[in-house]
Amino acid sequence: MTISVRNDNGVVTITLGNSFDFESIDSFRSAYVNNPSVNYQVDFRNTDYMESSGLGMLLNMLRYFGDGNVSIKLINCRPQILKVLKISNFQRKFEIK
Amino acid sequence: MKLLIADGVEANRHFLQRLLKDSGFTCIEAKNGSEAVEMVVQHEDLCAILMAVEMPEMSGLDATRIIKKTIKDIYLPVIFITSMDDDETLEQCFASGGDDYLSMPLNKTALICRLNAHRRLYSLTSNINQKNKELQFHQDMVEREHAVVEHVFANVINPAMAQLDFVRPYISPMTTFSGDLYLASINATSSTYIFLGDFTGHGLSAAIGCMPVSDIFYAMSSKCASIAEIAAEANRKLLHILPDNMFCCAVILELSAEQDFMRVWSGGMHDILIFDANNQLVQRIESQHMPLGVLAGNEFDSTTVEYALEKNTRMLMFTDGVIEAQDETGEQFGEDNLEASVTTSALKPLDAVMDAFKLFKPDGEQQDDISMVEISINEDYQVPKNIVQKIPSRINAISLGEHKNGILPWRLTVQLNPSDFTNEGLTNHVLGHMLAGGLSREQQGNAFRVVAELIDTKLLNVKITNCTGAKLKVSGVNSETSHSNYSCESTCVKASSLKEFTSEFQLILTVTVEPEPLLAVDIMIGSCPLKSFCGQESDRGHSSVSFCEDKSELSLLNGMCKTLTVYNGGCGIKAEVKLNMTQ
Repeated sequence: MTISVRNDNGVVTITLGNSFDFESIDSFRSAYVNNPSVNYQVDFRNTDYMESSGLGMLLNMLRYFGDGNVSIKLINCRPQILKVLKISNFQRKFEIK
Repeated sequence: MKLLIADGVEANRHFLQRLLKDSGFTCIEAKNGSEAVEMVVQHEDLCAILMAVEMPEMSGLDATRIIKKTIKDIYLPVIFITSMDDDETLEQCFASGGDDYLSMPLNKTALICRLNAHRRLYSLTSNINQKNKELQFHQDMVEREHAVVEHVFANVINPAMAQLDFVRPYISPMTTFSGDLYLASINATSSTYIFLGDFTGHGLSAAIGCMPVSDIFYAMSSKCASIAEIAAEANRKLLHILPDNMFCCAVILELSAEQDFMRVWSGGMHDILIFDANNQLVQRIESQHMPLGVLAGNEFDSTTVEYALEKNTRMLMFTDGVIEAQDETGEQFGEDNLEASVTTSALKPLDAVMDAFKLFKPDGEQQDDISMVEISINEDYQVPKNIVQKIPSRINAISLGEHKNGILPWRLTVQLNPSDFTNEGLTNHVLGHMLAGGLSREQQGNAFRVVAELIDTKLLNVKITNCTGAKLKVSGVNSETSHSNYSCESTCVKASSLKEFTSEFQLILTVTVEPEPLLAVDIMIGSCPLKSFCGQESDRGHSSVSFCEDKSELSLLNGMCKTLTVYNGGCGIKAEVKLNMTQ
């Protein structure tokens, strides 16, 4: 499954595929680079598996926007995804719902 | 395209030349088999050979055998042209290595079509050959470079590794280079430091970060730095050198010499599991932080957590390569499975997990680096003998980081006698002690500069009474900015630096933190420097050391100090420098 992007009145939702791994790096990056906004949601509803390079891609996104007051929410995380995020303390840098 | 016509009959060769006129082929000729062989060696750009079967000296069949042997893998089609079209001849032509066969009388169209077909095949194969050569070249190069890097890695990471009989590491990289890193060392107080890390990804790109981290780990642990400081330094370095999407999940732990407590910094790693003697899980230590190399220095949290340790327990740490390993159905080994494999086994935790993992993945194929470390806290553990006295338990002790100024007060006395005086490296030596005392580049203020100037630069005047015995006027005693009060009355004056006195002196550096962080520098010249400068013994008059006049360095120095004083007849210099403590 691939990454899909939706823009609802300025809220850009990036829905990830089944596995968020290194192969997604280019499509994930273009999802936010090509859809400028200040409000992003990364939707994990379809995602069963995320490896540490997935965490790296989220950090890349954070750094891309720098201090631009951009909100990035991670939504609909399944327990196993939540666990990976929590182990690396990603709640410090992202809002996780 | 170049074509070779090999035929013993001149008329035949001319005939072929004529047929191929305007066909795009350039023709060269050979009169017999051995000439044909020579031509092939000389003309590397040949793309096909038209070969007669019967020729003087050497037949076309023999020539073809030799040619095919010579050119090995290169595709050079040999097309036999003969009037004998019996099966036996046909068989012989192909058996000698021939690729095609045309019988007389020749049809121009058929000949050119055949040649064009072979030409296509020729360019295809020569393209592939070229690519193969390039691939081989790159593969050789990569192997050579890997060999060098492997050597460097082995020398950076392995030699300093402490061999500990209570720690069992299992490190299984997926490729030659491991993105998992295990390090162990013992510091001067016999505390054990253990590092287990997992860089994003695997292979060479993941392994690169191992080098700075192991350097930092060994250098700092040998200086008894806390694991919080090691974590902060490793984080700073990795943040600086790694790309944004790379980081290092890590556990750093410090085990006390008596193994009665440990201190842990854990970022992005799975829970450390602690099992009792019956393999029951008694504690899990969760990751507290983001991985190393993610947060900037001001955001980074180096807080560690302390745990009391029970005897007869075993700790197990592992990287995600273990639990994220997948079987053929895509099912992961999983953390629950890992725990269960220990609690349902009588084996030591590491052995129990390894056995279960072998059942789970019988082929041993890896998708990531796999590392596990087991630490046994044994009842019969002997505290290393080099500990003279028990170090008080530090569970409730303040650590340096909690000290409000970030540094402890200290005093350093450097006493130099003429016999052990060398100019070389004196300043660096003293500055090195200051660094070791906890003064850092950020905290130094002007401390390093002031000390270096006082020792190194020719800021000092040696004034001595000359041989006439005229008395030197002693001035500047205890005055705040004494250098401006001096008038030089002596006849022998030399601007020099402290290092140039081949004399005794004492240097005392004192760091105080109350009421404000301050470095005091006190230099006392021990004996009269007359001897070295005038070449004679004299007790007449006074000699003194003072600051030079009219030196721009001196006013700069004065500006850097809170106070700058000369006392004891010029044989003592005192400076106080404010330290900027950063929190």
